Amino acid sequence: MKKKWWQKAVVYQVYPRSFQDSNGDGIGDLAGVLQRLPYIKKLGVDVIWLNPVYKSPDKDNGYDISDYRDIQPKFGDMKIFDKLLSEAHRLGLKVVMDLVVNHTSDQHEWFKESRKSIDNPYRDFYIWRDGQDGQAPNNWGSYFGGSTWKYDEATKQYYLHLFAEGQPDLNWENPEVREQVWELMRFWLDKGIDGFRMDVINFISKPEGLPDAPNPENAEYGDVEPWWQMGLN
Amino acid sequence: MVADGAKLNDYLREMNDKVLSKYDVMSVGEMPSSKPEDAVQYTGLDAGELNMVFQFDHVTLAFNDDPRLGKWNDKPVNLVDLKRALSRWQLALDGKGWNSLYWNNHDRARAVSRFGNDSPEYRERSAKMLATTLHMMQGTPYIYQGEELGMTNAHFTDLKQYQDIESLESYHQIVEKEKLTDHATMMRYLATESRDNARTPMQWDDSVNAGFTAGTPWLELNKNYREINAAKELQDEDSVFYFYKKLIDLRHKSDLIVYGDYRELDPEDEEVFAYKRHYEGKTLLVISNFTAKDVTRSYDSETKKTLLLSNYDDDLGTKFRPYESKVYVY
Repeated sequence: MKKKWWQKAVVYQVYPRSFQDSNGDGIGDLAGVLQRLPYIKKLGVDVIWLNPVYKSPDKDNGYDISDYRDIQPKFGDMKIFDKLLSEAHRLGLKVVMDLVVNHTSDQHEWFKESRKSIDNPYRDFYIWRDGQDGQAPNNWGSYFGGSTWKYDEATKQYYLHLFAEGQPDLNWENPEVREQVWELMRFWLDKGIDGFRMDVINFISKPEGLPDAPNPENAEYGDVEPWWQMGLN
Repeated sequence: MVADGAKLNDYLREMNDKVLSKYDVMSVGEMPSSKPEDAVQYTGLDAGELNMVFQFDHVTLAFNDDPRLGKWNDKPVNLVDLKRALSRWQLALDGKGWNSLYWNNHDRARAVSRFGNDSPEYRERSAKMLATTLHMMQGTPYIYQGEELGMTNAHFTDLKQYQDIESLESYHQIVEKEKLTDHATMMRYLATESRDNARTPMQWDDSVNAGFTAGTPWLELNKNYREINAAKELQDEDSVFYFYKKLIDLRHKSDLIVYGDYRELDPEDEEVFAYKRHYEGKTLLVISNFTAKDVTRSYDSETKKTLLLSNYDDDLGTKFRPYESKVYVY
């Protein structure tokens, strides 16, 4: 087996919002992480994984991103991020960022364009479907409760959101979406970050035809992910 | 059923070809519901996709008997199930892919509360036991902030204390809308499984708000920060913090810990998690008592072994005290 540096590494996960507040607004921030780097170094770990610090309306604590190339103002700005990265590297700590690309925020420019009209160039960045007899296109239930489909009055279609309404799923079938994701990854990697933790990455490829989910209990919604029925016993 | 669609491997391979392979970086994919067979493909050493995945088997063991309630429950985790979940990943990926090792993260209850015992009597002991059990396995360990202090669940008692969208939406759906259970029961479920348990601010010291903020924290602090905090642990060489430091140092120095293969001992044992690792003629034996009582166990008793690590000061041989965990090498 070819040995890789990450096989010997230990990772420390930082949830910036709850780690260290530096400006008294009650929310942890990047300057706070910077201040606490010596503590992390003392523990002896090799890598820091930062939960999302991108610009976000914060419906799901940063997992709803409105700009992949900017920093959440509550957490700081790009200048402080760059400083954190270089100081971490100076201490011999690598930095891994969260990559949240199953969905964006509904405040992302792509989605704002997408919902404008059926023939908008960004329409196919997301998963839009017609309803069935005034009902959602299928019976999927969201992980955060309710249907996974949200009706959008402007174009009279539904969009898919496996998580919250404010987190529309990206359409990975569209090669332009993939190119945009590769581009934003390069943006961060070229800054010198040391990798990605990829949020719900096995959800990016949806089942062909988006069929109804099993619903043995006759609940309001089908069961999109019956993981307690899988595998173990 | 929405996961692991037919084109996932194509997308991940394209991502690697066009981006990741151009840099010396690591990648870990969060993959709810993925099976080891899938992960061998995703993390296969020649597959050109991801380096490792976060699998969910061991953190989704105690789901509610009523499937409509999903993850919401307050049942303890059965040790035999836990061992089976972790062991099958250890075996399936050995030599073929690579595991990530974690007890908790920002989406899970605190490890010591969910898998150990967060009472003042056993908190530190069981936190160290859990750390040993996981850090001696094959894979890349992840420590979630505060885990290295043995931080516990929040033990919130009022719905207003919660901020997490999943917790609040689930309460609304389950209690108010579908009326699947009552308020008191759901509050117990939230206290056991809510993501906010992991999100209470980091406990740095015993000053106001634990040194996390000079303002009003976005989420209430855990009331126990005066007893459990970093400043205190940094001054105590026997603390959970320094125990984690020791585990990390051991891994850095040992190919046996990093690369050794894995064999579980007595999978049906409901009290003790024991396994062996082998590498280049050397053996690592890891034994952890997951209970609050004394138990007696014997493995390779005739072999001369060196004690590498323990969470007690002395070695009573075959007798294991509450949450005692020992690592031998031979």
